[in-house]
Amino acid sequence: MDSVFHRIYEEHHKDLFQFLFYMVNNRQTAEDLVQEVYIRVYKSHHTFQGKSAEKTWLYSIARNTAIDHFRKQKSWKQRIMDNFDWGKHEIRDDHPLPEELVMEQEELSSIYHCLDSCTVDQKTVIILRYIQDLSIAETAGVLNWSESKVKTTQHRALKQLKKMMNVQKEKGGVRIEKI
Amino acid sequence: MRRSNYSEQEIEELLRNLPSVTDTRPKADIYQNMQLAADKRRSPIRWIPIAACAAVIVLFSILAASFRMNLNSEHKVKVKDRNAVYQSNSEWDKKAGSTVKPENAGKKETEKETGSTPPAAEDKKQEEAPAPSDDKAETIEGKPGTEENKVLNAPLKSSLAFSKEGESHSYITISVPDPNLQYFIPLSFDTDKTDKQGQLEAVEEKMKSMNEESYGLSNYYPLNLGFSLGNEEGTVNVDFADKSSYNNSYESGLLNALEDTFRYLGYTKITFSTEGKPGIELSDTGAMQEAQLLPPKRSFLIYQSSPEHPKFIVPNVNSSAETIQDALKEMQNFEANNSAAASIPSDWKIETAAERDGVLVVTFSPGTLMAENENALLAIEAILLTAKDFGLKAVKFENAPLEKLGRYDLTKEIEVPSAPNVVE
Repeated sequence: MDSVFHRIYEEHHKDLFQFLFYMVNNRQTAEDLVQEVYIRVYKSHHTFQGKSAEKTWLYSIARNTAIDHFRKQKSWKQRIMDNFDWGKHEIRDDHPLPEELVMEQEELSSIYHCLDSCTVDQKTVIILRYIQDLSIAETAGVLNWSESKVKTTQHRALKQLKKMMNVQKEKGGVRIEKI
Repeated sequence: MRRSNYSEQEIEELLRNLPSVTDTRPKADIYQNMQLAADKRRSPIRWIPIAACAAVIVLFSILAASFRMNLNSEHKVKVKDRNAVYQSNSEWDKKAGSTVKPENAGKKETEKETGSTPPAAEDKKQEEAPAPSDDKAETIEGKPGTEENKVLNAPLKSSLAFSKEGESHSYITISVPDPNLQYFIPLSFDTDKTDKQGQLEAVEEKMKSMNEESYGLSNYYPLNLGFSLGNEEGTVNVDFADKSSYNNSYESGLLNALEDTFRYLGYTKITFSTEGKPGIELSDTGAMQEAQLLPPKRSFLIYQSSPEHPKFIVPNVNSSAETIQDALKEMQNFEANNSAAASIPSDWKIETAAERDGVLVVTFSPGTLMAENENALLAIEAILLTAKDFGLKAVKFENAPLEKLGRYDLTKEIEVPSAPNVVE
């Protein structure tokens, strides 16, 4: 356990923590979940055959851990009701901003909150592609999807984010552009 | 000054500019917390087997004490008969299966002479043989491999249902997604309803009562759907009573789950309606009126969410096989991930796989090793389900290293099953 932990910590901890943080929008929860990831890794490390990249395998475990967390947090029906038809819903602002974002511009805070309007799959793809900087092929490997499914989901997620950002702008005007 | 709309490129740029977030805890703290969590998780689980073991030890010591008293009184008689017991015991070893109790040797001998007891029945008797015979055997030196033989002879349990069995009852199949919504596991349940309408009602009932999590799967059902027989033969209608109960991620799996569920029930088409009006709008597919249920041509894998849960034979959702030969290769070469694994053992050498008059003929190369175990049985059953998915009627195995495996006679043609993964 010792050597596996230390090696994975050195090579992947930052990525795993950041991925989980953006998935759950909460530092304390991300800390608990990354711990859970290590326990799962320890339990199944002997089954890892090295055929896929270790990074891909770890992200896959982290994603499953986050999904399990969502399932425990609420029954799925409640989540669906909460998420359904975003055109009629406000963007929730119940997640405190991470300290890294407090000092950043308003637009970044908005996009951070708008991420919650995406489905879990869309959000996962966005985080892996734009925040964790994974390629389409790597993302497909993490999700065990085809590359075309990743592209489609990414496209839908961007469309959703664009829609929500423009709704935000109409309401409060996060963006004023000089001409 | 004017307000402008965001473009997708700007959204992408904003996402790329989101700040990196770091874990501020020291590495040693994380390691310690993880160990504490792991230990904490282990402790409540362990006391149950410990309590069970303690109960077994107490029970065993009580039984052993009473047997020892009996044995002491019979000891002299046993020593006199030792040679005779040895003889019958070595015959027992050779047969590797029948249980011959020294006390009943004469009775067994009579049965043997009549030759009326089939091997399977002998196995059954062995399983039913009362425990005292083993204890009494303590007086006999060298009775090798008793427990081992029992394990080897334990019958392999099939997970498939065949149409022949469905005369007074039938099976309904419900496709359930795994917790990651990546695999759809078709689970079959026995029902006394044999007519189409009754089966649909049984599906609705089972969706309400089933506990998917006990199989290691996603808590997915019940869904707010209504099923009824369609206007055409072989058609079922699915009515979405309340569309607001679904979101994108569940919808994408929903169509897959419904198609598998009704395909195994023998339907060839699903028609959709929303609150009684024809058609449904799904995020992945857009507006839909109906779905044709053609043979889906998929390979099958083995799925097990964790060692505590059963193994299931599941369709490979990412199968790209155009032919059944490609499907068999996928089933052997699949790289294990997310609880799914290859269904055909890597040391099975399949020389050819060909279709002849609706029958898949699988020819093994000489020298193929086939162990008589659960994995081999699952592989045979996965091949049968794949043949069914390719619209074939039966499978014939040629040059199979075993003549019989579980319920299957590998020297004869085996019809494809009517239902997969039969569960309680």
